[in-house]
Amino acid sequence: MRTILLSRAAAIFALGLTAAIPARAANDVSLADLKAATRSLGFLQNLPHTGTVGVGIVYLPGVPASKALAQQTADRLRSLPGPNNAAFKPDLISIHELAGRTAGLAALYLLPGSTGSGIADVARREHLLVMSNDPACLDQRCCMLMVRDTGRVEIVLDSALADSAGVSFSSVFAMMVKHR
Amino acid sequence: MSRGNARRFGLCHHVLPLLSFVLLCGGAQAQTVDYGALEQLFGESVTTSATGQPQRVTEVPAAMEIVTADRIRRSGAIDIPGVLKQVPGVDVMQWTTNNSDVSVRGYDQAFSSRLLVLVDGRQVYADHYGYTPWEAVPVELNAIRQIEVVKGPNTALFGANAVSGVINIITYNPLYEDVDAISVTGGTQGTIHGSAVTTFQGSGRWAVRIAGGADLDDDFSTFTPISTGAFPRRQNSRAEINLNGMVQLNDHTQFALEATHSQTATNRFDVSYSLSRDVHFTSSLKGQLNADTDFGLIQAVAYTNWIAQDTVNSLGIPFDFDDQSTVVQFQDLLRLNADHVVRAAFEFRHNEVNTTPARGARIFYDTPSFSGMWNWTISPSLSWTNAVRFDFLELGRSGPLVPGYPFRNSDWDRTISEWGFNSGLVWKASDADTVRLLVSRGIELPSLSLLGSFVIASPLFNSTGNPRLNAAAVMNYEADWDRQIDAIGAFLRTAFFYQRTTNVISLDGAFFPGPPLYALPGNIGDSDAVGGEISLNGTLDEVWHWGASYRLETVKDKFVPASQNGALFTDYQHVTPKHQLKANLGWERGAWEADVAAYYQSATRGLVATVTGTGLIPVQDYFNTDARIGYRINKSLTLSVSGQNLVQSRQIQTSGPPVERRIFVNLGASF
Repeated sequence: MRTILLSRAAAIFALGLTAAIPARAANDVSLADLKAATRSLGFLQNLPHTGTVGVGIVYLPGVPASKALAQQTADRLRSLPGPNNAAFKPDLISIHELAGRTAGLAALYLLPGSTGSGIADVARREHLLVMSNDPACLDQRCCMLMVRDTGRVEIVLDSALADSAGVSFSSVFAMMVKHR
Repeated sequence: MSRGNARRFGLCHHVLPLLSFVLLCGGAQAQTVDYGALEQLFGESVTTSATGQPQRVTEVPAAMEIVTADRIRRSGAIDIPGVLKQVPGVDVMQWTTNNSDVSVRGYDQAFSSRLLVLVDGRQVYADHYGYTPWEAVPVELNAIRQIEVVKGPNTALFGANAVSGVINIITYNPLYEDVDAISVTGGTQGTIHGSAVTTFQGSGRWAVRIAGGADLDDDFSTFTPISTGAFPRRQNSRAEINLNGMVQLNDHTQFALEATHSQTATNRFDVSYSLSRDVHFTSSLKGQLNADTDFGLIQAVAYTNWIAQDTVNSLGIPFDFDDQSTVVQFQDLLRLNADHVVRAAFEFRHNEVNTTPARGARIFYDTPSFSGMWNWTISPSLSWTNAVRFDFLELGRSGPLVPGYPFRNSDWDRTISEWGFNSGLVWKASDADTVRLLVSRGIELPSLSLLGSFVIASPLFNSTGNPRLNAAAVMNYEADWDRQIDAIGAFLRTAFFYQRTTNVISLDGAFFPGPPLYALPGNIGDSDAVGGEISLNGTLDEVWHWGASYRLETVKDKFVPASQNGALFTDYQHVTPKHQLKANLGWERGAWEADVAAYYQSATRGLVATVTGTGLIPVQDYFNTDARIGYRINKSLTLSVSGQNLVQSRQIQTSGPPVERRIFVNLGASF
């Protein structure tokens, strides 16, 4: 009985730990981050001038906070003006379902902690822009554009990953952001 | 006065081959810099005026001030010098209601020649006489997106005469920004001012902006010093219209066409420090092609400026200049990889003007120029920018010579070869701190007038230009430190500079012994300046904005004996104020907004006309303020009352006539 209780306690602790880390990070997508990200999209080549721009919001399944943040991000995205005269059409995508859910999307937005080695492969295959406000996504080569606003807007472009996915921005934009 | 010189205009001849080339290049998305979208994205102003590369203003390798459209509106000014008066480090000498001379970091004088001024990259500085006729600049304040002030030489990017600084006035891009506004102003000194701007946008593929305005005023009624001559001040007038069209040729190419015209009548303080009557007719036509290609951002520009300046000086001598300058530029800006951006550019400039008042001959030059820029991001916190430009000015003269003239036409057959550079190291020392180390060399060309287009031949007095004049060169060494102070929501900027000008050009620095005796312009020596600037700007609760700046500067002229102490129309040492302080405070709540700007300048001396040339008189220190109160009646309409020189009803600020307090009532509508 004691062993079972300890195991349950350990499981609860472990679950709490895994949930807590992304949950803390997940709180980190501010409206300013999202505005900067959507404004950056306006400099993406071949984006529709009218109609809708599909954006997949990638969250961690099994982490309620991540799913809630994804929903909040989607709601905010709908309210933000899209690039040119287009409107955003957000779609919540579990990171595990990513491979089959990218049709009609122009970009993926990774919530903090929603990283995985397969994301870059999907981006290359589907020619998708992958962006996030989480600098770790650049280190893990999961995203090609990191955009965050911590009082000063910081934009870092992984040119190699972007090139390999066939994603390119206007030269003016490319000259004004940091590269890695 | 002849105004039929349009025949030589060859815009289509220059632009069409470039257009064909760029359209064939293929490549990526557009285009011209979308200042609005980039400013919104980065939360700060964006500029190309430092290096030619689009950059955030906090990252440029230059000391720079950007005056936003909102600050222009809230300045309460009705002209550009009125706005610039409030900018830290900028010197404005106001001679009459609509005649001011502007400089950066001192060295201001009548017909200020050291500051290059452009509108959307098109030069409005008048090469024929080496000055900017501010009242004739064909732009309305409502059409300006931002005014970019670069402090220090920037010849490497903009070419000659960008020595004390550059002012690039950026207007709204009609393709990106739909600006529609009307403004009516009435005020003291009989001021009437009207302005309108409207934009037509067609399905995102084309757009046209039309702007125009007209002004009338009776000038100041203050006394005119005896030295300024007996010329009565008459009514000043100004009218201008400009048209900007832009077409999105395909997803990666834009073509812009700009046409402008202005005509003004002004009481002007001339180079001899006397009041003169000046009439300007200016026109321009410009074509510009921008393409985002696989080979970089390609820009091809061709424009012609026509300036007809009819002046009657204080002695009643008429000068009628018909100046035509044509400029063709081609530039490629290319990001080589993550760390390197380069720019290569070629420019050809043709400029010519007639001789006056003895007419019949022309002075001209052709100047091919080559320039390049290399921006190296050494690390995420360190970047280094180097730019260089070479100019080869081929001077010439054609036409008859007056009897006894000291030169032959062959004396003008010479090449003036000059070079300028800018080098800047920008170190982002921390999230809050930026350090800049800058070195630059700028070139000030002698104006066409000083090279020989003015010819006074009379039994009493002879004077003309000098084809043997050399260009002046300005070396600038500078260290800047900026710091973001989050605790008080403020931004601190500091700059320390040392500037050496060699071969200073003066209106009257040489002579030809004759007979007949001719007074000639000359290179009269060197001048050194050392100074520092500090400014602090901040906001509070999104209700208040505030700023304060101080400049300390000492200038030492090393002129030939005959030119010392302002004896021959040029003096920098005594006319540059040692201390300059400026401050501003703004508040807004609901429909109300209020702003006040104060400025103080320490005592100087001012140049005045004398029988033999010029001399110096004391100009006491002065303090004054400008202010504006605005009330938004509804979403479109704003009523405002603004004033200039509010502290005293009349005040001596220069060696010219005192300025007066001015009050304006403005009704503005934007749609």
